[in-house]
Amino acid sequence: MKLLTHNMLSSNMPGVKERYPLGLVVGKIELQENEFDPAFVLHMLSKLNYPVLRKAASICQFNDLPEQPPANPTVENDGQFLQAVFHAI
Amino acid sequence: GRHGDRPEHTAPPELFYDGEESRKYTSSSRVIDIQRRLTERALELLALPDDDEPKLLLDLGCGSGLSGEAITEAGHVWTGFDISPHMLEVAQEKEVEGDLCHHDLGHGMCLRPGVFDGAISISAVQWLCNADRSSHNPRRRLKRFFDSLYRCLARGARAVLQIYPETPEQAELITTTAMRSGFAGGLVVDYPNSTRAKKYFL
Repeated sequence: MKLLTHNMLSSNMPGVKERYPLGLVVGKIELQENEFDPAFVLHMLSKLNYPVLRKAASICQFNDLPEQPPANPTVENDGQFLQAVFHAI
Repeated sequence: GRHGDRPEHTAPPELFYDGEESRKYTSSSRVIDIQRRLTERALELLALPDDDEPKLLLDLGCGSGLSGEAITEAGHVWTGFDISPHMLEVAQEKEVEGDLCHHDLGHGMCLRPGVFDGAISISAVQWLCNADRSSHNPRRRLKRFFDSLYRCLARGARAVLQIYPETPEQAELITTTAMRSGFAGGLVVDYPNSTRAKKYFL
C-alpha cells in the first residue's frame, strides 16, 4: 500500500476512539521507480495530512521530510521537497 | 435476461468470483474489451478538468483491475476497493498501478472527508442490492455506501457508477438512495433501444 493511500484511510468502525490515522505496521517495504510528476505532487499536497505522512514515512525508515512543509511550495523553489514527498507517497 | 443468468443470483460476489471464475473473467477478451469501454465512458461522464494534472480517483468494485488499467492509461491515480480476494489477487499479479483494498462497500467508505477528485464503479453497485446474509439490509448498505462516498469526495467531484440493475425498481432504489445522500444528477442510459447494448450510468 502506498503511503498516499494510508494517508486517506480512516476508520468507520463503531466504538473506535481514534478514527484517523490508522496504525501502521510495516511488513515489507518496497521501493518503486516512478517518473517524478511535480504537478501531481502539488495536487496531492493539497489533500495530504502532512504530519501523518511524515510520521508514516519515518516508520518506513524514510526521514527526509522536513518537520514543516514550505508555505506555498513551487516547482521552481522547492524541487527537493517535492521530490521527497513524491518518494514518500 | 432470465433469472438464472445473473451472477448476483448465484452467490455473493466474494464467493461467485472465486479463483477460477476470477481468472476466467479476467482473461476473456470480450470482457476485457467491455470493461475497458465502460471505464472510458465513465471517465468521460466524470468530466474531469482537462489540465494534465493527474487526479485522485476511486475505483469501487475494482475487481481484477480491468477498469483500473484504463484509469491509469487516462493518466490518473486510483485506489481500488473490492470484496473478492480472488479478483484482487489477479489484480496484484497484473501489478496494476492502483492501491488495492479488500473491503465491503456496504460497510461504507473508510476515508477522510473531501479528499477524492472522483469515483467510478463498473458493474458493481447492483451487488449491494442483494441480501446475502440474514444480517444484511440492502437499503441500509446502500445508504451507508452513498453517504460515506459523498463525504469522501471533494466539493464538486463526481461519482459515475455503471450498474446492471435487475429491475426498474432496483435502478430506482439505487438512484433514490444516491439522491438522498446528497448527490445531484441522474441516470444516463446508453443505447436505450437495444436490450443487449443498453448500459446504465448513475
